[in-house]
Amino acid sequence: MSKNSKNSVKEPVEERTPAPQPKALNQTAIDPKYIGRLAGTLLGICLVTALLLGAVNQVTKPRIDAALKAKTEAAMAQVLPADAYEKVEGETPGVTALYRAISGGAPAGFVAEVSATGSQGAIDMVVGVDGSGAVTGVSVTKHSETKNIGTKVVSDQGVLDRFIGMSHAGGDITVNAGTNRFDGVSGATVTSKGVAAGVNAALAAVRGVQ
Amino acid sequence: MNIGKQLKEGFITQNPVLVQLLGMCSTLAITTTIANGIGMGASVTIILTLSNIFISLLRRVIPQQVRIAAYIVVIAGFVTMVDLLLQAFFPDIAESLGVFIPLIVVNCVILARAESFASKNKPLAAAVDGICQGLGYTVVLLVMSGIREVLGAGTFNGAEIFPAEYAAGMMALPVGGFLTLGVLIALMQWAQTKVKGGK
Repeated sequence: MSKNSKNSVKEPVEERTPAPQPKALNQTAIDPKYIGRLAGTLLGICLVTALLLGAVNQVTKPRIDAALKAKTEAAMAQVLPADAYEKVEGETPGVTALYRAISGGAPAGFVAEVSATGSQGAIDMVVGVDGSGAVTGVSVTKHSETKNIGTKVVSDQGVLDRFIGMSHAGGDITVNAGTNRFDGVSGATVTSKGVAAGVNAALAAVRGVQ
Repeated sequence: MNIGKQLKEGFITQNPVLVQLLGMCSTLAITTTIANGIGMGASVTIILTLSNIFISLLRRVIPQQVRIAAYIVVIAGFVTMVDLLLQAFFPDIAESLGVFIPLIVVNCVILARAESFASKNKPLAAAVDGICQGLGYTVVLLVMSGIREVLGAGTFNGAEIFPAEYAAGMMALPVGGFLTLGVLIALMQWAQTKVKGGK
């Protein structure tokens, strides 16, 4: 403030006149017809775009759904081979979906679709659990982990296979600690813990329905 | 219309990434493998060309006051179409580019060309501009992803050059993206000053 007043003593600040409003803008603000044109044009563009998108969606949706289904089914067959998978109805807390695996007419265990939290976002995975509550396999279907770091866990089937045979008999699976221990990958601790949490959720969900 | 001039602008004097510094986010994020660079470059080029053509066609219809909203709707429409088509027909590319395809909507290369070129020029010129700017963007993505893939993963377009143990994994991380981009921008500025100085 003091600096300003000093300046104004030396050379009086020119009095500010309000900037002249552009005439066109004032007119548009009041002319209802013009507002109608603005809204109408936008509405028209949106309508045409929406129609086109609907058409494209009609073509692509079946293919996208089929690809997703094939991927999940392949992952399910990998973690727990069976003749059929029946969806378990009702609440399955902690997992996205739970399937009862049927092999030769008899139940062969469960397959759980889990969405665990990794270091960069969700890790979608499929976990197979046999009748005794032990893991038969883990497969990651979708993730956004950092290349060359998180992928050392989620893209390395050898690491994921270390879960095979683990169960909740000795409590929750813990990473690099405890008695029911899963050895994580160094440098990718958060991802390791995320995947372990997913396996824990699957085991807990299976216990809930058994 | 002057195709030679527009090409030169797209690749060198008005290169969207290295001179206009537009679309940095996707440039840094996806340039970890050459396949990603090709996928992203092609997607942006197609969307940019289509949106340029349509915005140029609609340039006398769209009122000045709602032009940005109208542009965004047109761009978002094309981006969603490309996203759906990629997911349906090129699932591998769609998966590795992930969220960056939907984010092309807010890639400022496209909005900038709509505002500064397509809305003031005829459709044919706008189409050429879209292709030239898109190719300029793609070339930079290819150079960046080439450098980062070789140094960061030891592979060139998937083929091993040296064992991955010796690769500088940092180059595949965002840090490597900033370093590569910084060096490329500096080289571009140096080259341009040198050419201008020689005249």
